Amino acid sequence: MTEQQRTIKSHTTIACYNCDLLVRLPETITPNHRVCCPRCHHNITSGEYRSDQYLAALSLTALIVFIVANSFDFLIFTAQGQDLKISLAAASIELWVREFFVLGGLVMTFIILLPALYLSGLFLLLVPSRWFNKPSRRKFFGRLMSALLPWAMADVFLVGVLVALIKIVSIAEISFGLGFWSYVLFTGIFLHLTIIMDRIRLWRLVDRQPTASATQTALTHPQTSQQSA
Amino acid sequence: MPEVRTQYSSGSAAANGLVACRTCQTLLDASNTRCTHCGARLQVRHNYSIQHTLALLFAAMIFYIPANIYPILETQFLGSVSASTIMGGVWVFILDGSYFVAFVIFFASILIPLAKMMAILWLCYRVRYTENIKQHELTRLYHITEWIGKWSMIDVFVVAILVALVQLKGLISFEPGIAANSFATVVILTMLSALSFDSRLIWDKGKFNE
Repeated sequence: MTEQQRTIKSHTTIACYNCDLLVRLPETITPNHRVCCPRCHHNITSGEYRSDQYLAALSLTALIVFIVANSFDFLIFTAQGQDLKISLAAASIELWVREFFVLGGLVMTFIILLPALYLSGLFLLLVPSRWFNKPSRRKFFGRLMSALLPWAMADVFLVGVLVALIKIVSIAEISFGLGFWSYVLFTGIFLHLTIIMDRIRLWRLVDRQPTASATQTALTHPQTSQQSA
Repeated sequence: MPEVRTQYSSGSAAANGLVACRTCQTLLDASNTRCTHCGARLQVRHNYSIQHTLALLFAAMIFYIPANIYPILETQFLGSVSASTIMGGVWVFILDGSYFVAFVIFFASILIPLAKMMAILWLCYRVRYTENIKQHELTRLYHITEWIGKWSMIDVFVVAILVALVQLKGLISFEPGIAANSFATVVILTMLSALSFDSRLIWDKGKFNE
C-alpha cells in the first residue's frame, strides 16, 4: 500500500476501537444519528456536527471562566468571627506549601492542569495561528488530548466539594464564592465539549488546517460558514 | 516480541493484516510499529495486556490494605484530635443522619474500588481461561469499570478540600492521614489497570469466531 492509499482508506474505513471490527463509515452522517459498531454496538461517532465557531467560542468561554474560577474565592467560611476565603489555585498551592505533595499534586493535575490543557488544545486546534499550523504540533496536541482525557476529574471534584461541605456545615457558615460558580460552569462546558469530541472528530480536527480565508469568511458571514461545518 | 495469539476475530483489522492506531484511528499494515500519521506506538493487541492489567491490579490490592486500616483524615476540633478511617467517615455520616452522603461515600470509596477489582479479575479470568464468553455483557462490564473508576477519587478530594480550605485557628483544622495517599494510589492503579486491559481480546474469543 502506498502512503496515499492508506490515508484515503483511513477516512472511510476504520477499525472499531472497542472490538477491532472493520467498519465502513458513511460518507455523510446526518445530525443526531449515531454510527455504532454492528458487532459490539460501540458508539463510534455521531452526526451532531457543531460548527467550528460553536466549539471555539465554547472552549474560549471555558478558558476565561477557568481563569476566573482559579483566581476568585472558591468557598468562604465564617465561624466565630473568623473569615476564611481561598481560591482554587491558592488552595492547591497551600497543600503544596504544607508539604502534602501527593494531595496537592493530585488536585493540581487532575482538577486544574489537565482540563485546562485539553481546552487550550481544543481552542488552538480551532483557530488558525502561524505557530500552531505545523502538522507535527497539531498531532502532538491531538495525542496529548487523547491521552489525558481519562484523567480529567473536574466533575468528580465538584461532588467532592459538596460532600466536604456537608461535613463542615454544622461548624461554620459557608457561602460559595465567584470561583465556585465559575468552576461549576467550567465543568459543565468541559463535559459538553468532551462528549461532542469523540476520537474520530478530534482527529478530523487535528488533520484539518484552519485557513485564514476560512476564518475571514466565518467572521464576515457567520451564517453561511455555520452550515458548512 | 509480542506473544502469538490463537486467533483474531473474523472481520477484524487484525485478521485482515491491518492494525488500527489507538490514538488517531488510522488503519495501517500490521508490519508497522509506529503510526505513520500521528507517531503513536502501534500494537495489533496491547502486548501482554492481561499481565499488565493483573500486575497493576495486584499492586492496587496491596495499597488497598493501608488505605482501609489507617486514618484518612485527622480532625483537630477545639483542641482535641481525632482520626477517622474511610469506614469511620461513613459511620459518622450515618450517626449524623445524613444517609445520602453516607451512601455516596460508601459507594464511591468502598463499593466501587472493590467491585472494580473484582470486575477486572473476572474479565481477565474469562478472557484468559474460558471459552464461549458472553461478549456483550463483558464489554458492558468493562466500560462501566473504566468509566466509574475516577469517581472513587471523591474521598481523596474531600480530604484535599478540607485540608486546604478549612483552617480556623483554635476551632477546627484537618490533616490528611496515611490512607489518603494510599487510597489515591489505589484509584490511580486501578484506573491504569483498566486502561491496560484490551477490550478487543473479548471479541477475539467465543462464538463469533468460528
